[in-house]
Amino acid sequence: MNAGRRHLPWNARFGWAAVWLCLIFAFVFYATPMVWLLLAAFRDEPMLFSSGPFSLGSIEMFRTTWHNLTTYNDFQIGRWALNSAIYTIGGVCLSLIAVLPAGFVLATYDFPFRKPILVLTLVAMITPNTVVALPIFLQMQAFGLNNSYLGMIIATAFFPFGVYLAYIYYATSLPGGLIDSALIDGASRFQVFTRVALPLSKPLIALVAFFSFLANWSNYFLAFVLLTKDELYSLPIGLAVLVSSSGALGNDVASDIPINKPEAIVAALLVIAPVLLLFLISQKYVRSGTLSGAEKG
Amino acid sequence: MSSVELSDIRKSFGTVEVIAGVDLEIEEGEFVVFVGPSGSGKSTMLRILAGLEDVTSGTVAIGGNDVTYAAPSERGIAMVFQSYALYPHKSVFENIAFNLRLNKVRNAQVQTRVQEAARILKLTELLDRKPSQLSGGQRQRVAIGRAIVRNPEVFLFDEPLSNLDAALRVEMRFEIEKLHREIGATMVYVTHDQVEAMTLADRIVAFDKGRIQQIGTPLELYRNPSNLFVAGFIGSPQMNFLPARVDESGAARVDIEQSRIIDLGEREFGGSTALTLGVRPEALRLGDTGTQVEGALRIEGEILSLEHLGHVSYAHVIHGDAAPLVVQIDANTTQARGDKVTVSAAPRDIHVFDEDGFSVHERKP
Repeated sequence: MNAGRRHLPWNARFGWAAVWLCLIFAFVFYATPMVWLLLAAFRDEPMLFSSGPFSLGSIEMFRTTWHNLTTYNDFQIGRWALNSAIYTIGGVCLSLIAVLPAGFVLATYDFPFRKPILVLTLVAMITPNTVVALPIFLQMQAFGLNNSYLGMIIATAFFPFGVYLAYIYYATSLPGGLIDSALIDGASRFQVFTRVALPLSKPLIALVAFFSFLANWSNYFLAFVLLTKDELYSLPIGLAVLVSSSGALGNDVASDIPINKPEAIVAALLVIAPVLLLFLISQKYVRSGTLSGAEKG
Repeated sequence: MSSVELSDIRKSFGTVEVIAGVDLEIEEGEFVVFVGPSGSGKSTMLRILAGLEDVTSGTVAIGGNDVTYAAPSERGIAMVFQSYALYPHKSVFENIAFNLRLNKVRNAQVQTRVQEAARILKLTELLDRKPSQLSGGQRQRVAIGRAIVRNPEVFLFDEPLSNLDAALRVEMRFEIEKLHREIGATMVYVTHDQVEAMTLADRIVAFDKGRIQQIGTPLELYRNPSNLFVAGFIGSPQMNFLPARVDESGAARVDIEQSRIIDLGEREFGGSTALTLGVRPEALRLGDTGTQVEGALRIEGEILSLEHLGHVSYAHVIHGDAAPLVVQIDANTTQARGDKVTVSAAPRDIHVFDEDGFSVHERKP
């Protein structure tokens, strides 16, 4: 292998060098902080300051940190995690219910104002979340849904990117012949969706659910605007409030709250963990191949 | 009572008119094949018949009922697609049963009808499989099974064999023909393959530019094409065409160096002076043998290439600057490339087309 590479022409060697440079760059800038975070969770506060950046702590230290974090305020952080789960799962389910039929209709039927609706979807997609936070707040207030689970779920379910994903999927991956065939078989437009398109949408559902989950789980600003009661806080809001009130990340003398840098680090991991887990689960379904056998090839 | 009746069908996509006034009656139990090159409107016509495409104007009647605006499922039709269009998530059984399930047919009856369709198409062993586990031919049989099980008034086939390899195509062609004999339903079949058209059809409808060019039995279209399009489209290799002029005596003169006068008998040229002569490869002979008749077509040329198909050979003969003539010759020919030859044809084998491309008919002897 090495002997073979020695004889590579100069442009191929340049290519290899470029690939390695990119990989090293990515590792240094993206992977190193993650590795540091993971290792730092096993160190206590003095060790964070005294030892090298990648030195190993102990399980004992992690246990102490975990104990401090979870027992604080009657396991308040557990309550926030549960809230986050409710908002996120509710938002994912509601957005799936809205997004899949919308994308299907946009992709497969010609109806008045189809193009403008598509353009509007795109505009909504590129509009930053923060821009609509205030209107959503006013809207929720009008309906009396501020500081409620339902209000937060409805607000997070708004997912134009999902509509666009569904539109692209149905427009490119669903053979037109299948729809024609189902119509001739006597299916109504709705049945074409539920009995033909939907069963073939596993990769799409996985993709939309994943992105929707990611967006909802880490949604800070909308939750910050809509939620004011601390028992309704989601994990990102709760932790931000906790960290800032305890001064854990400041350099002042620690307050009497047992939340310091190690606790903040473990809390950060707690926020990341479900996303990592979901990614590992859903990527299996995102692979294509569900439609093989429908048409030629 | 005709099974299908199309009256003055027109269809435009934007400003493009793809069907420009089609009138057609199809008898009950008839096997009608729509042929034409791509873009001729034949597939659009079938989709209109199926209800998958709206008409711009005109009426569609099936079994005497006006179904112009009826949903596809209300027309008593079943359709087999070129792409098979099987539901990949359903087993073969459920693919065939889908229509019955949608119509809430009792399970016992679904079983009987699917089994019966599977028996006809030899699919019984495959009922539990998914479409992805089937070969191309098997998938197409499932698609046909899905049509049969509905017991439709009219079967529509949209180039059903185009995705199959040559051997399988012949086999499936035979099976479709057998199916038609067995169940005797009306069938409308779209293809660009003229062999399929010639072998399957009771009547062929030749489409070009959104219009019907000719309707007739396969042999009628082959022997008496009504215009240049049909003459060129039906038959393989293609009919040879030669430009010709009408001289004062009313006989035609071939517009090549030899300026030969050939006698085309008593025909009405309708004022046309520029004609096109058409001769099929099998009507042309190498040498003068058998065509020593006065007024026969005779052209001097040189063999450009030979194609040996085994049972028969084709010689491509160049003469002047015109397109080479394709001549069917004996498979055991001793002719070689570069041979100087005379190509001839008897007057009765020559088709004549006027300036507008329409056939000028001869008084038959």
